[in-house]
Amino acid sequence: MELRNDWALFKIQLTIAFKERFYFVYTLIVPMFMVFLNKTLNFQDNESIYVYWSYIVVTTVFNGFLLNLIRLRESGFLKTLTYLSGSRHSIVLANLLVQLIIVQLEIFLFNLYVTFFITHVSSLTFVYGFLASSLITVLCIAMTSIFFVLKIRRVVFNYLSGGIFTVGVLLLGVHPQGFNKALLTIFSPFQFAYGLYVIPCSTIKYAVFLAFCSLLYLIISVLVFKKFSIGEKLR
Amino acid sequence: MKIENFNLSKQKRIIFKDVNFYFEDCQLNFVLGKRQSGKTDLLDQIAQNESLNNLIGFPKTSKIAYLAQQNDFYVNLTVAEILHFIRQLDGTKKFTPPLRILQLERQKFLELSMVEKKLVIIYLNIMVEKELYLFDEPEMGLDLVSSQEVFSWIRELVKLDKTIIITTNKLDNICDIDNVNYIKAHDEILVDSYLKIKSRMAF
Repeated sequence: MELRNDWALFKIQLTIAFKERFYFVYTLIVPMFMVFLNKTLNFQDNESIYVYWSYIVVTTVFNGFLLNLIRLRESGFLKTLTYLSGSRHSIVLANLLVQLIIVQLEIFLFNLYVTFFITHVSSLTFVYGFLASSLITVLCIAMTSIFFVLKIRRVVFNYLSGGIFTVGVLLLGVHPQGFNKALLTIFSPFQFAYGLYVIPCSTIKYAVFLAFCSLLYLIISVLVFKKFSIGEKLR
Repeated sequence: MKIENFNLSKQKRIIFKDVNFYFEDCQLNFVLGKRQSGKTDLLDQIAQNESLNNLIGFPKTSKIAYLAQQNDFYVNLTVAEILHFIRQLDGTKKFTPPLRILQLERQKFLELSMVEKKLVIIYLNIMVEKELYLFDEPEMGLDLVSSQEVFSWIRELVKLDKTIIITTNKLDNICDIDNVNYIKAHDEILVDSYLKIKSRMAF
């Protein structure tokens, strides 16, 4: 019975996601444009492409997963939909799966674009992008789930995410070391996602630190979604 | 279905103090009270009744449909697509939508007027097969004709042996034989048929 409802929720959320084409401008067209502008620079190593992948993952998590749930909750429809479908967790899970598919599709299209117009992307990089992006999307959702504790409205969320995007993207070009790097990884989702992508070329110390952060965010997100309020009366 | 010795407070404000509510099975039940009298909080408690001991005879949460007071759905879908989604959910009634809804099927939900959106969302809650239906002020934002139409749909549910609880602060759609829980004060609830409640409301 529940599986039937989960499947219906997944299909409707996937349909909604593909009908809202405008947000692909932020999540896919902007990085494509950025990589085109930067193509004259040194673009030989994989680490360059990871910067764009991190941007795609984080903006998709913000514009897709977080904004969807905040909008549903604020409109009051999350409460109605929860009782229609029987579970609020099914709605969250369906939303997460839809965003995973969208991230995969965006990363794939981005890699194709880079291959055809910028530089050759190896098949190994395609596979790494596919495998790593699923895990990193889940971890980014876990990290940003803290937003649900704040019970903020959509307007405030838009301002907040705009600020985070601007600061986060600017800081992606900075490569601090030591304490500053750790601090940036904890607070910037872009840096966190980028850090996870570059794990194979990182020090063991930094990899352990990322594993610790990931575990912490996962625990926090479980607690957040367990207590997740479906009510519309927010601050 | 009944609630006994019910106490509820929120942020140090007492909403209900040692009160009883009574709801008739397979009938239309109203919770009548002024704004901010705790009607929505009461429905929230009923919807989550599994963890509360003094709520007796209510079906489990998965058997309850609950239409929230404030409702909108910012999606770029047609009404037909939304109806199709609800039909895919487990347990939906197989009947033809009323003419008012059929006329909207081809339109995009975002392009509907507020009244039309409300009608569609109310109808979604009627489509699903549940034991108990909770409606939080369904007439809010509707014109008189639409409000009467919605109540005619809701009364059809009673014919299917469903129990319905509606909160309201208006008297327009209550019939004399309907069961009414009137929130007179946070510690006084009058429960009777509307005909009898009317006479007692005067005092």
